[in-house]
Order: sequence, then structure tokens, then C-alpha cells
Amino acid sequence: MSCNEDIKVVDPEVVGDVATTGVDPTKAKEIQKFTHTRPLTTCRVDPLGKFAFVGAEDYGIYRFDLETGDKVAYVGHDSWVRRFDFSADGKTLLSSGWDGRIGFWDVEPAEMVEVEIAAAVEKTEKEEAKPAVTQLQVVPTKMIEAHQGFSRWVHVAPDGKTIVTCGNDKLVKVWSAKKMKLRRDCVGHQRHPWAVMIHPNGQELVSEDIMGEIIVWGLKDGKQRSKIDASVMTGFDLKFQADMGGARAMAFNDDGTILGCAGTTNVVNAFAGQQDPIICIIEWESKKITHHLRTADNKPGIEWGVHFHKDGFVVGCFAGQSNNGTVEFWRLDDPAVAKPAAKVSTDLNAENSESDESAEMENAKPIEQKPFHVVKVDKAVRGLDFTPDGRRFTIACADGSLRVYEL
Amino acid sequence: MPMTKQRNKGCNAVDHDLSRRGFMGGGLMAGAMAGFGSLLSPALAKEMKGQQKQILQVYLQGGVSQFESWDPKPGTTYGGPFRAIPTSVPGTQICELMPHTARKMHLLSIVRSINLRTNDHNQGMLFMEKGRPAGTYPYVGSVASKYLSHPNNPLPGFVHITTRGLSGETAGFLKAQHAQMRLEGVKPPKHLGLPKGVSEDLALRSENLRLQLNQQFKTGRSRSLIDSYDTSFDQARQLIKRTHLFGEQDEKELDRYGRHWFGRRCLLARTLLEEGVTCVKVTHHGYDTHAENFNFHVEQLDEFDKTFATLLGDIEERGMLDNVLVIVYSEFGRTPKINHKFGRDHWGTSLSVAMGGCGIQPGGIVGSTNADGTAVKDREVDAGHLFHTYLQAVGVDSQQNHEIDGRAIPIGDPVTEPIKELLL
Repeated sequence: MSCNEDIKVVDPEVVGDVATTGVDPTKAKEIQKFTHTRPLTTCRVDPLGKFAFVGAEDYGIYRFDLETGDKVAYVGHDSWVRRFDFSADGKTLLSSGWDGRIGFWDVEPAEMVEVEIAAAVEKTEKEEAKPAVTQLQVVPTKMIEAHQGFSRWVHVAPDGKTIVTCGNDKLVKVWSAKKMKLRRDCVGHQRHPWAVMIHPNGQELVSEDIMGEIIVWGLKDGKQRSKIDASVMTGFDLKFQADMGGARAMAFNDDGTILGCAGTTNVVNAFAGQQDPIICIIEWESKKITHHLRTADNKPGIEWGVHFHKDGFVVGCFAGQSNNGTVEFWRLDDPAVAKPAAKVSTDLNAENSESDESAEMENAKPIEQKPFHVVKVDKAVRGLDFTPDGRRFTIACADGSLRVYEL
Repeated sequence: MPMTKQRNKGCNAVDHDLSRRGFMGGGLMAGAMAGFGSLLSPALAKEMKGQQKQILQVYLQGGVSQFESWDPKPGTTYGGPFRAIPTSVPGTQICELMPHTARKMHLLSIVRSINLRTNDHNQGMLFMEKGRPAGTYPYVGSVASKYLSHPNNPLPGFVHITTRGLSGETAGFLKAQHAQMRLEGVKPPKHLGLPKGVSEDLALRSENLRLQLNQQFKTGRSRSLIDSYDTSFDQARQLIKRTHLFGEQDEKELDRYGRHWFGRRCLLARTLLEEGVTCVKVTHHGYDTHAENFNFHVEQLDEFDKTFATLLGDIEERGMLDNVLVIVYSEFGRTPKINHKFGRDHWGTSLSVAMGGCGIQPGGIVGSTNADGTAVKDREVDAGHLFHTYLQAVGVDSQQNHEIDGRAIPIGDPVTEPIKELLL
């Protein structure tokens, strides 16, 4: 791995350039579309904004050149990949796979091998097998057996020194980035944790499990510091008697004052995909959920991505029950959606009147926020990321397409 | 009257029926109230208990994915994200979501070549239970109740532990006492306790009146129907009199089985089998995974795997497996194609079932699907074949007839036959 602890961090997910871009989300338009033969599972743009990496339902990771569309296959996982991150210097791609492993790959490898791939690999569902084709392939520089069970998430600390992962062994693991040596296990989730992020302050990490239990851990000692109840993001499906929920995506804003967790709420029939999408916004200092970001039409589905844009708005991506999707834009301080006003007590004799308590409770409720702009997509969207300049974003779609939009 | 196979030496069906009739005539209530064990000499009870053939059905309701369970296809177009793992049977692999079951595969066999030709929940479930694609026929549990339950056993012959599900008349044309008794989880049957405000004395008088009215009603009528319902009522009453079944479950056992609902139900299932219930069916819900198929299978099979393997191990360790047929099944499988919701839909074209124990050759695999799992490749069978196989395994000759009011009705579908290579 080429993590260099002295190199300036270029992780756009947690640390952005303070300068704003002045982009206008309402002007977003699709400018490119790259395709793969299998549905995509997620996407990330490398810190230099040159490539987009996607996971697919064929175990492969694919790198698309955002200018030319040239595709390179990164081959090494034995399962699907649902999460990527980059080393601090931006030269190494990290991938977490459902094979329990964390893969390390060169973003721009010196060597690529041209391989004739079996026709079946490229066969689509309705078509007969095509003649064999060749594919440029890259192998990992390193594969780490990280979890007994699936590695759900990987994140590199802002300072590049630490990597965190979580998996279906119910563990959150802290690794030293330099030698990928396990520093400690964080034990405490009773159910499977789905996402984990290191806070930009470098002192804490936060993870969320399927039950919506968010645990804040000390990065140095691995001890639990606090818990946040995000059970709004989970539901027990009474009909089918199973729990479903958790963070499908998680991100901090650039200064770490807020955390966003994307997923679902109001589970009705999760087995049919009948639940509402949601992004919970958590104020880090108070550890309170301040906003529920809801989609414009609240159609059933899942929110698969959350991104804090350097211009202050929040972006999410949605996969609908009917194989449609959206990319939605929210402003947390949107004047059009004001926080519910506190009720004024009319009982002059009561020092702590019920009205005061009621108003306090009303104020404590998260704001149900609607987006100020929606980009409609004709397929379910499963992943979202921005280029470092904040002027373009990519989405990974269920039809195998990677689409690039410009703001 | 069907002839039972030689292996069912302890209790053939003819003896059952004759004995049952004799017992009923000799004093139904007295026998029922006394309980199974106390009616028999300890030696005879032990012998009968040891020889009684029983069935444990584990029904994965909604349609477990064959890819994510018994017929994994990792690395193929529709294989999904999970890997296959080796099992205790060299050369046999199952999905990595069932590591505990993998260690018990030497006790089980898999049929991977089932084609039900239906993608409908109700039709698939009825086919799997009745062994016929249509018509009014009894479930395998009810057939087992009729031909395997000892006449002196006052407990229900067919108990289904579930909380919900498609309702159905499980006994078909058999007597009502062979219908499933449904337990809602680990709670005792409903409506058998005294209503609020009703004293024991009032209840006794009410019961006497009911019996008196029954006697009057029977005059000039066939007794069979009334006796059958009486028996059903008494079976339920006998069940809940065994308060230890429905009390707090043992903490150490719950640690082993899991404290979730399925763990508790399987622990109760083990107890019911030990008590002598002929067929115990446990439903594990949550496999109709049109969305999030993979995350749901992670969660559901995580519950199923350890619990089922524990139950199977306990049955084996108690020396019961030679007499208990264990079946794990669904009403269909799930589509090869993964939809846009990361889901799989209904698929009756190529699915799998696992079975083991009484009468079943362990460690085998019957049939196969093609490379992508989209169709049966060889040894295609359907639920009719399975139905025959189950019954033959426990010693009921499914190719004989039920005798119902003078009519001969084939027990199993005559157009199908047992999967002979699975039978011991």
C-alpha cells in the first residue's frame, strides 16, 4: 500500500476544500454514460477526479476513465464490493468485499494484463453468449482477510494513518494503515454493523448496525463513548418477522459537525421493498438527529448514498421500488422548510407548564426536510460520488450504467 | 388400509387403527386424561417411544433461495455474492451462510432437482405438503398422524409451531384429529383456558352438559365425526396440561438454540418430539425476499443455521434420528435473476430440499441444476416424488390407498414415485 502519512489528505468524503464552487444543482445534466454488462453496486471517484471506480454483481471492480470511458477490470475479490475508499495520497484504492476481505489496488497501476475472458462472463441475461473478448485486468497489491463474514465498509482516516472496517462478525476493526496491522477490535454491536466512519477530528469513529444503533468509539482505545438512537432507520417486519434497516451509506461533512446516515424508515413490507427512504442528519456535538431528509415524492425505496457538498447542500441517491431513481439535493438551512416554531405558553402562572414541555418536545423533533431539487433517473441508483472540484457527480445504476452529471 | 413397510416394525398402521378404535371404545376420556406415559408399562412405553417414527418439518416460509442455501453457484451470472463452503460430506458444498449446518451435512441429503411448475405461494405450499398439485388431500403431517401415531398417545399427531401463514385444511378427508394443531410460537393453544369469571365447578357442569348433548346428537348418526372432534379437543387439552412444555424455557438451552423466536420454537419442537408428537412442523418466516434478498438471507439464515444444526445434533445425540425424519423445505425457490432491488422473486422451476434421519440415506445429493441454476439438469422430480419419499422413509407405503368410507384413495400421487436412491 502506498499510504504516506506525511501526504496531505485528499479524501473528499470527509475533508473538502473550504472554497465553494458556486455550482447550481438545478442545472445538473447528464454528460456521460458508461456501461457494464452487470448491475452496479456502488461507485467512487478517485481523489484526482480522473477515474470512477464501480463495484458490480460479478465480483469485479471496474475503473472507468472519466474522459475516455476506457474500462479496466480489477480482479481479486470473490464476492461483490459495496464500498471503496482511497489512501491519503490518493494512489491506492481500498475495497471492502462480501468475501470478508479488504483489497488494496493501485489507482494507476504500472502493469495491466490483457486477458481473454470467457464469453459467459460478458453474457447478458437475454442474449446468448458473445464471442470471447479481451479485458485489461489489474490484480490487487494486497488482500487482507479482515472479517469472518462480509466486510461491509472500509474508511481511511483523514490523516491517512488509520483504516477502519466493519463486518458480519459484528466487529468494528481499527487497523494501522502503514502495515495494515490490526490495532484493535471494537466490540459492542449486537447485530451486523453496516458502516463505519472516522470523525474528521481523528479521535472518534462511529458505526451503525442493522438495528439503527449508532455507536461512537474512541479511536485510540476502542471503547464506547456514546450511543445514538437511530432506530427510526430500522423496522421489524411483522409479517415476515425480520429486522431490516441500518446505514446504506454514511458520511461526515468537512468539519465534522454533522453526520449523515442514509437508508430506510417506516418499514411496511421490507421484503417487497416497501419502506421510505431517509437520510438522518445528526448534529455531532449534541449527538441528536436534527433532520430527516425525505425524498420529494416519498415513494418507497432505499437511500443508497449521502454526500456533503462543499457548497453546503446535501446530496443523496435513491433506488425506487419500481426500478427508477433520483438524485436529490437538500439545504439544511432551507428557509422554505423552517423548524417548527415553539409554542408560546399562555399559562402565566405555570413555571414549567405542559405547553413549555410540549414546545420543547416539538423543538426536539427532527425537521422533516424535502429537497430543493431532484434529478430523475430512469433506473435505480445505488451509489453516488462527486469529483474533487464538486462540479460533477457520478451515479452507479442497477442497469449497469455509470452516469456522469455536471452541475 | 395401507400396508406399512417392514422397517416400521414397532407400530404398523393396521395395528394403529385397530388399537385406536378399541381404545376409543374402551374409554376415551379416561385414557386421554391419564397421558401417554402413564397409560403404559414403562418397558412398553420405552419400546414404543423408541420405535415410533416421527417427522420434523422445518418450513422456511416465503421460499428460501436455493442459491443462498443448498445449491450455491458462486461466480456465475446469477450466483449472488456468497461463496460455497465445504461440508462434513467430502465433495458436497452448501452456501457459506450455513456453516453450522455444513458440519452436520453427513446427517442430511439434498435434492437439487425439484421442479414444481408453479411460482405461487399457496399452490407451491399445498403441493409441497400434499404431494399433489391440486385437490383435497391431507398434508404429509396429517398422513403421518393417521398412520404413525400410537393409538394410546393422547397428544396431537401433528403440531405446527408458527405465528402466521396461509391457512389450510391439513387433514383433507382424514379425520379432524389428524389436522394440524397450530401453536402460536411457544404459547399453549388458544381458548382452552377457563374464561374469566367461570369457576371450575361451572366449567365441569358445562362440560358434562356438552357430553350429554353430544350423546344425544350421536343417536342415529355416524359417530366418527363427533368422536374425531372430541379427540381433537382432548388432544389439545392434554397438550396444555403438560405445563412444562409452555413454561419458561431453560436458559442454557436458549443459549444453545438462540433467544430469537425460531430458537424458542425449535427448542419446543425438540420437546414435543421427545413427548411423542408424531409430526412437528416449525415455520421460520422471512424468505420472500423480493427486495434485499442477500441481506435478508444473511439475517434469516443466521438464525436458522445455528438453531437448526443444534436441533439436528440434539436429535442425533438422543438417539432419535433413526426414527425421526427431518425435512427442510419451502414452497418454492427464488429466481436466478437478481432484480433491481437486490431481490430474487418466486421460482418454482429449480429448487432444493434437504432431508435426513429416519429412512433416508445420509450424505447424498440427488439431481442437479445447470451451471447458472436456471433449470433442472438431471433427475427432475416434483413434490409428488418428495411426498412418497417422506412417507416411505417413515415406513408408510405411500403407493397403497387410504380407505375412506369404503373408497380407496391413493396415499401418494400415483403418477409419481419415491426417490428410491434416497431411501435406506
